[in-house]
Amino acid sequence: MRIRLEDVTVKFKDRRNPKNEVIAVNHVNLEVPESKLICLLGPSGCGKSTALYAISGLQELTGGKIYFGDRDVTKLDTQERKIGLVFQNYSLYPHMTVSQNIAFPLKNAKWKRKDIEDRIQEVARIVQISELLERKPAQLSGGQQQRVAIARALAKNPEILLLDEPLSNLDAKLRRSTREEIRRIQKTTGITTIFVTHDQEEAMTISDEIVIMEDGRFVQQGLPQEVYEQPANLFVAGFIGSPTMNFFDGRFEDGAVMVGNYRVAAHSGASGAVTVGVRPESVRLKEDGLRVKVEIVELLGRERVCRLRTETGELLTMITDIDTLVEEDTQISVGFSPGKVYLFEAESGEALARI
Amino acid sequence: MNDNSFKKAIPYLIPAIIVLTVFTFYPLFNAFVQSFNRLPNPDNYELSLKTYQWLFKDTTFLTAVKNTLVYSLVTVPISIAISLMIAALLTSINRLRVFFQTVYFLPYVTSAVAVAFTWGYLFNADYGLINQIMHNVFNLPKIPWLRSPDYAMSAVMIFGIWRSLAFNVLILTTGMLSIDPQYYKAARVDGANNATTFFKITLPLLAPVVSYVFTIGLINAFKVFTEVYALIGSSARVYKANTMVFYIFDQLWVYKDYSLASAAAIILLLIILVLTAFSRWLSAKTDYMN
Ligand SMILES: Nc1ncnc2c1ncn2[C@@H]1O[C@H](COP(=O)(O)OP(=O)(O)OP(=O)(O)O)[C@@H](O)[C@H]1O
Ligand SMILES: [Mg+2]
Repeated sequence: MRIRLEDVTVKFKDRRNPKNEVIAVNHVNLEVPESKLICLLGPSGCGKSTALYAISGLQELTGGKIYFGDRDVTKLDTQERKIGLVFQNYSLYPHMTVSQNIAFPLKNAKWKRKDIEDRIQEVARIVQISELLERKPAQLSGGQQQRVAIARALAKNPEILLLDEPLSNLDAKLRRSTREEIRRIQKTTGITTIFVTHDQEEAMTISDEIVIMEDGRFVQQGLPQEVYEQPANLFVAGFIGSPTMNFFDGRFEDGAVMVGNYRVAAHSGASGAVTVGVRPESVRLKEDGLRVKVEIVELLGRERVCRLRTETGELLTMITDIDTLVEEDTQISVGFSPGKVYLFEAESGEALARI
Repeated sequence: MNDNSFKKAIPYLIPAIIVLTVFTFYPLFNAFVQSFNRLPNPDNYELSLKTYQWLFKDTTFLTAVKNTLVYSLVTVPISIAISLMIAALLTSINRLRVFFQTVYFLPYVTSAVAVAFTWGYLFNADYGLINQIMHNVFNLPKIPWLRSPDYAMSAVMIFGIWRSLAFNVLILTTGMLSIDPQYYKAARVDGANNATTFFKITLPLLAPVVSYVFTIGLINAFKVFTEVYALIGSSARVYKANTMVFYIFDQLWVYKDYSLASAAAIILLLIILVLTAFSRWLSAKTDYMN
């Protein structure tokens, strides 16, 4: 099922000061193609959950419209939207067994007993919890609870699956395996999925497309590689990628971009201040480049992560391969790989060019 | 517990042991011995089972036991059912909730005797509001609520239900408010209507609280006395509204028969012990985490 958001807005009254309004979701537009998994990515408090609840129907809109396929569902109640929702903390009913949890939406939909039993077995197989059906949620590990929550969400054959930070309670290893699991389930069922997360690595690996959210607005939507390589603004550039992109206060001078005394590259037709961004892997050793002091070198298997400090005191990160020898407490000179330097408008942070 | 930690614990336990011995174990033991004393006066002892035989032949006591049982088994479930409804309504409103919560809790902090005075007016045979409504609206005969063996106990039970609402509503409302709202969101997504949500989500999650309220309510109901004495007065026996504690009170202060009073108290204690055991079993059963 295709999902379309048109100018959707959700406002809350500020709890402490009712005269103020919090705009949790601010005039957003979105198009999710059929059978795709898209990630809603943004920092804590940017309105991801609110946006997801708006799509689920749990949250009323202040303005705008939501379409599933060609149908306007803006005024529809949650249970009529045919969605499955997995909550941030799973919200499994603690007094029911796993199979009762999965059966609950089916009983409410007045399914026949036999059909319910068959369906429980079926979804349990998909998420691989067949041997856990008689347990209570308290007797399950985080990863198992999470799969039960997905099973409950999938039971009613929803047309859309909404997941609110489903992996945030898991440890790193379990996160990785469960996220592959979710991807597998999504691929086998072909269900259109929106996955909320604040973890950019998670978003990069799991999704067909990423939507990046900042302060209630959708700032960029694109393929994972696209948002990585062509960030729309400073916020996206800084949010995507780990370690994060390095930023410098640069300037246009004599038809070139300068950072300190380092002439980064030729660039004509502009003047004044500019923010220069470069990813750690695009920083490399170069004579006559930016003079920096090596503060810390971390060896991470195949690569070295070096923390450097410029003469003006700015910190930057460089990733080099293991064979490039960089030693702590030495002075070196670095440059930026051509074609990998991002320019942002100094004032607004909008992306200008990549040089 | 190993020997060493037990030794270390002793100094901390001593004050509690002393207090319990003086104020709980000794009086209990004393009442126990007294209940086997054939003579009514505690200064002369003649131990026998006679007191218990008299007790179980005393129709006043048997009426008191019957009244207490009926009172407990009627008022506790009804009060909890009404309290659940009120709590559900209270939790569903946002504005003025604290105000209404306070209103419902007021009877708990006001003295039973004072409130019983007001209820005495309500139950008054001639000008009481209850009879006025029954007579004028439903055209029913006027009932001498507080002065009739047929109705006095009913009046006490109505008053008792009303009095116990305050505590029950408070505890149940607090219990309901502490249920994670996420479960209700999940229930909405799962297509549960209001009734299903209440019976399949709220009530099971509230079960430990309900079982607590039920136990406390039952124990209090078995000890009912103030409600009877304040509403009906010392003639409760005449109007067949006496209860077990009322019987004990009568034996102590009117008939000065300490042995009979002690025996009745021991019976009441046994009933309450059984109830407590039952409640432990109940709360273990309603603990949904296991
Ligand atoms: N019911 C509410 N009443 C008032 N303000 C709210 C309400 N729900 C959310 N907000 C506010 O809306 C903003 C967005 O909240 P939301 O929960 O959608 O963020 P989020 O991106 O999901 O954050 P997190 O990653 O921490 O879960 C926050 O500033 C929050 O305080
Ligand atoms: Mg959230």
